[in-house]
Amino acid sequence: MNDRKAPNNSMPTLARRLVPVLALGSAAGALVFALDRQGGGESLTLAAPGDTEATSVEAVDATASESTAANTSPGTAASAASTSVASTVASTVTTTVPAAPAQSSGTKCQLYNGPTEWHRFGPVQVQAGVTSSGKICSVKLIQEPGDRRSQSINDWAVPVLVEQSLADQTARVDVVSGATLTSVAYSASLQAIIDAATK
Amino acid sequence: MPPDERRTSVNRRPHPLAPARGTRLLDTDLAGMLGALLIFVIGVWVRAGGASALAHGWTAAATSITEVSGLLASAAGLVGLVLVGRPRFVERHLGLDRMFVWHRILGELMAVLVGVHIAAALVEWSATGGFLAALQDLTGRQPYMALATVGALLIGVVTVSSLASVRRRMSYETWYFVHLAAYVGFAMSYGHQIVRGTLFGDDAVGRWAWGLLHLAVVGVIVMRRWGTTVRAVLRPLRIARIEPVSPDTVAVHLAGPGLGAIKASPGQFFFLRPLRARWWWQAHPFSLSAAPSSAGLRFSIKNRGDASGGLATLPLGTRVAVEGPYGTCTPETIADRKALFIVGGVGVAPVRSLLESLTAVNQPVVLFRASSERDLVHLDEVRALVEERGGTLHTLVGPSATLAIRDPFSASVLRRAVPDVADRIVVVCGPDRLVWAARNGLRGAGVDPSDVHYERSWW
Amino acid sequence: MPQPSSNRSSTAHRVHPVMGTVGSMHVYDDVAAELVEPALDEVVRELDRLEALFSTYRPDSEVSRINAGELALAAASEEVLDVFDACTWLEQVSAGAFDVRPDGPAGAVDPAGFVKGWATERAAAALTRHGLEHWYVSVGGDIVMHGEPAPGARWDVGIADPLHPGTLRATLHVEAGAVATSGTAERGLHLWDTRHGGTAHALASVTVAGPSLTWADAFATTVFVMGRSGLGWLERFEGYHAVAVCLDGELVCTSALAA
Repeated sequence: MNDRKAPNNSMPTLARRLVPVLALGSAAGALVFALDRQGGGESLTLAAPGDTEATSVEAVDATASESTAANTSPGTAASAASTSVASTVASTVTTTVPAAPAQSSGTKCQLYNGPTEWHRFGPVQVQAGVTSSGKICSVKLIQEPGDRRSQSINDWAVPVLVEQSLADQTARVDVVSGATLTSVAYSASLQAIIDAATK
Repeated sequence: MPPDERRTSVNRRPHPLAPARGTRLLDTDLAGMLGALLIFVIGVWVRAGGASALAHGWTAAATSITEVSGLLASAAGLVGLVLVGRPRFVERHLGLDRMFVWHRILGELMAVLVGVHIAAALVEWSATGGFLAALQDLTGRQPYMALATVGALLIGVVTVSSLASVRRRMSYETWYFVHLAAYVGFAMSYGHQIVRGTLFGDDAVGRWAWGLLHLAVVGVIVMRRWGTTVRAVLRPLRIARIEPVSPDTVAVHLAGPGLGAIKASPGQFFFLRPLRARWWWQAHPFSLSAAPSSAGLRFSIKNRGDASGGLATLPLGTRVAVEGPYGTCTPETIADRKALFIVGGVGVAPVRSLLESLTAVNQPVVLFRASSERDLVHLDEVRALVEERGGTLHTLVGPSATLAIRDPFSASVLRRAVPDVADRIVVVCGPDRLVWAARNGLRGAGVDPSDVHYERSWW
Repeated sequence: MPQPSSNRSSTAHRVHPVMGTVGSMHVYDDVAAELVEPALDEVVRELDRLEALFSTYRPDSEVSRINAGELALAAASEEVLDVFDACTWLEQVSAGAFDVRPDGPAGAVDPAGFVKGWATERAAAALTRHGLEHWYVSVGGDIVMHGEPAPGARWDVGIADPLHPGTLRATLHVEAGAVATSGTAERGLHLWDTRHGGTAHALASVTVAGPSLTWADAFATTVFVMGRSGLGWLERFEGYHAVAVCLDGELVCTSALAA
């Protein structure tokens, strides 16, 4: 290298050498830290119908206590027309398996495309499926810009689906549900989430 | 003296051109820039959990490898592009020959990294849908991936065509135009990095930084590489004189009003681009064979059977765009040190121009090797210049096979010919084999490698 | 009625490896440790007992012995019979998607897709028997929740992203009840179900929320095998809702999982 090419032909000082290198390195490091971190996911609210909600607690209790009833298969118990699980359990069931839920008639899911909305990462369009009774049966984001791991897309999409906003996207949760490995070595990453979430 | 004669006599005396502008940036500054780029690229990856993801199973590791190989491929490509943008502050430190060599190395590295990137991406995407689905997604079903695939293919084609064994088989014309496709390939992949790249997809700061980085590189290429060409084309010189120097070598003198804007030092080289029908799109490098002066630039060109030979046949007055100067071997490099020049054939040209700036302090010794008498170009000029400065000229003529000594550049031979070789600063200029042999011998003779200056062949 | 602690952190917890995964129990009641520890002990005991009964990895479990022909089904204990009955019913109602004999009609019985949730629900009931009201028990991602994590709060259940280990894909806000997830990790690397013969309808994971963990777990396994059409199948069951992560990362849910 030809540092003798300096116009005034003098050797550069140590400071002249070190300062730019350190400054450039620090600037790069600072830029790295200025980047956003990845956060948690989309939030959905389970809008359970009123009485089912209330009975879920009872259902667990009822299962725990020893019911005395004829040993019928869960299918026949479910054929009782009642829609609440609690009342199903209250009818005679001896089995240790809680009564299977009642089946309702199938619903057709009609798809609609929403308008294309723009947000800072590009266009997003929601395709929602709605049943004849007006309930949303499926939601899909089409024209999704960015990677599937994009949290902000989910951020943006959520208001269409869920009333509550996701102010803290770092998703502090009480517990995590996931398909874990059933081998003896469980998913360390999942356990880390569990540990972090339950502090 | 009558007024007009006085004016003419003053005007006739040529004066040397001002030397090429230097740069105040140091090599450590360049290293700092390179380091900052690497810190940013690796830092982005690590910050997003890339390093820890490597231990989390195949799919996570594949994702992580895809990310880091893509980032590094881009970094290698960006640096490679900057190198061929020929920014002045880099060229003054490294020399264009070294920059081209590094451009080739980084280009090959980038191609390898792109290969790793594609393979890892296929592994990652196959895990959640099978190989065929992954292939479809990555080649077009996902947005921007069609462009990225085409871009990768173009990069692949450019890389393969630049391998020495392949390049030999094609004409310069073909190779050159294929190589330009690298710009296109690079541009096509940008979309998928910004939009699909897991590290920039949601991050405004990241996207801006990445975009600005690319813009800066584009700026260097447009302003320096193409800007220089445009400026050279707009202010061309003309062929003033063509003199035969030997049966297969001519000295081409270029002069013209454009000379006023040119700054150059002896020992440097220019890319010459004759502005004529068949010639305008290619530029070839030639060294100055005399100190650049207001009288013009002289280039000694040997007919090697390609474009070099054709230059001798151009008519006088042909406009030639000169791009440059490039090269780090200038009188400043030699300064007041004792100098040794080892040259072969027409490689004497830059040394011939350097000699004009040397003085008795340098006690120049020239070892002039040629396979036949007629290859001792500019012999009389060199002898005169050397003797003026109290130096010595040695010649060694004849095909290598017929020499009494196996290696005329071995350490012992050099020491005998030049007893104080270890104290000298050495400039080597000639065919690759000569340069290699000379460097070996010099090293064996105790010359500090940093004192040996030579031009790396980049083709 | 005891209140949960106000700062939304559990007052006692226990972690216990069981059924090839990890069980963790968290109690949020604001009560003394002497009341909680015996309850947790009982939960652990019950989980171990049920694992010993059903595990196909233990040659001395009843299920293994039934599979090996050493024990006649009619002579098995009542719990085993109940579980087998439930599995049979589920197999019928899901038209074979829930497959209690995955290796074919003559093959071994593997009720694992049903037992994990069922056993967890049974074992967790020990906590209410001890008078604890606010708790959750999670075994390998199948969770039963009771009460509240903090006064007036709902449970925030994170759904792990099956495509990106270590991150969350969504969060469910649940009043109480059960959440179970089934996915490729449980079924190993076999992403394709032989019935459909392709990945067009396949899912990466399914999370079902509902009143009972037994059925939430069973439905999750079933819907997962069925693929996207399973979400439509699940609609017929009142009170059970699913959200599924597709192989391309898309999130789809059953009706009622809405604002």
